[in-house]
Amino acid sequence: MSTVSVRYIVDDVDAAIAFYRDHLGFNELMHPDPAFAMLTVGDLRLVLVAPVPAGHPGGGSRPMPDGTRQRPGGWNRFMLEVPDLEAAAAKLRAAGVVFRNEIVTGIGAKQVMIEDPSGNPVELFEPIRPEARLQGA
Amino acid sequence: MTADPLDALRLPVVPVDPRPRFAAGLLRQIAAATGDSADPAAGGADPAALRDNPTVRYFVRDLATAIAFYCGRLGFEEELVAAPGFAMLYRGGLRLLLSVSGVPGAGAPLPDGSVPRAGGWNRITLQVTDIVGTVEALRAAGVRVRADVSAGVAVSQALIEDPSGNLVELIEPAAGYRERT
Amino acid sequence: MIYHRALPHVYGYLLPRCGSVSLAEDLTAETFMAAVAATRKPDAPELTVGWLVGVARHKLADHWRRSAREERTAAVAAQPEDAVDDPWDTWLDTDAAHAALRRLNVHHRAALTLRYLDGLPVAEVALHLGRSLTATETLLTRARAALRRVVREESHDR
Repeated sequence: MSTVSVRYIVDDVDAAIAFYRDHLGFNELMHPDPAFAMLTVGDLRLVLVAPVPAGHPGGGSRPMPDGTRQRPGGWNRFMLEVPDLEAAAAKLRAAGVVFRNEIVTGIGAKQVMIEDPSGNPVELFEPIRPEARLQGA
Repeated sequence: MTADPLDALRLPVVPVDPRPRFAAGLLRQIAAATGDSADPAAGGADPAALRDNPTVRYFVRDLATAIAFYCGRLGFEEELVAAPGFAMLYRGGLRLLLSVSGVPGAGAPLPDGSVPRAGGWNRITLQVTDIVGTVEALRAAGVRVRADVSAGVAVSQALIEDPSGNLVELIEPAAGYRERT
Repeated sequence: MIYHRALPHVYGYLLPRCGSVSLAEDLTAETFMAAVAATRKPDAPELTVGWLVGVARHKLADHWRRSAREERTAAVAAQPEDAVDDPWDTWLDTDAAHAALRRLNVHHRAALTLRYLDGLPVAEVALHLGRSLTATETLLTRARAALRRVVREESHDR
């Protein structure tokens, strides 16, 4: 509980580290093995693992007992708050980051989804300030 | 100078996770005390609290079933429920958003027609005490265990599934191991 | 945010010294609320885990002082007091000693916790307890004797 931990499956740990570090401001906490790294931003700890064979000592990315391999992707994601979503999105687009959608305005926040090099989604959001909402009402 | 034998009583500070309900309540109290004052009439999420809590969004098939699972079996606390499509839960410092596939909001279809849904291998990791006992109890309650407890050097881990098929990873650090901060 | 990271440290400091989850939770909450209030002041201290544990220690000492005032003085005076601090046996069962602390009156428990569990010098113990240095040294002598008595009683019962 003291830190919040999320695990993402990636194809290439080094490429993933560069993506999260350079585009999203993560810090590298450890990278003891080519198939494993831990990054942090705020209180979020992001564990990146590449699938390893069944006999590999580390447990997090081995195949399942029935042989099914872990893979990147899906829709579940962690979220990052940014102070200015339009500006952040423009910067990421200019840097060639893949977007899954356009900025969407929901209740309480605007959000957009980007993808890391393995196709894992990350949701960026900017809370809608209560004062701004009241003005628009 | 003779050593004082009672010096053996020295008790260094060892971190202990408090009860999730207590921790969540206290951290919210702190966020309210330190954050900007939010207009209670505005609804939606409290911006100050969002700034402080790492947040994850999971897609689920049914909101009530998902809430019963996370709160009833994994110690999450309900913060807000906006049926039928959305709920916000806490477990310690983790804020978990549940969005229902296909429902307007984050679960709505994208312009290309794809609909966000549950599944995949990416997951939240929850620390528990007595992982073997915890997994036994979950299994006995009908929870699907995708990968049984396996012991590594620093942690033991297991993978369970929520009712929609999303993975939740459980870990328990081995004795003597502490999180590196 | 520092509060998330510090919570298990503050709680981990308090729980073994309080002996009860509910007291540890109450004091943890008091600690953090006091910390938030302190950060608003112009000369706000640096918000570190060590500083928060220090605040927790103050809150614990405050609690002991409140408990001590509530304890009936007759009960405190009834404890037989050994003026002489006999030497301990060379072997000390620390688990038994930690458990025995809970059975002492709050004055003795407070003094021994600060001096030995926290490792504070006697002068600092005195400050926390709001007593003079001499009174604190006397209290520690009596507290050690009381602890030894309880530990011996419990080992004979086994």
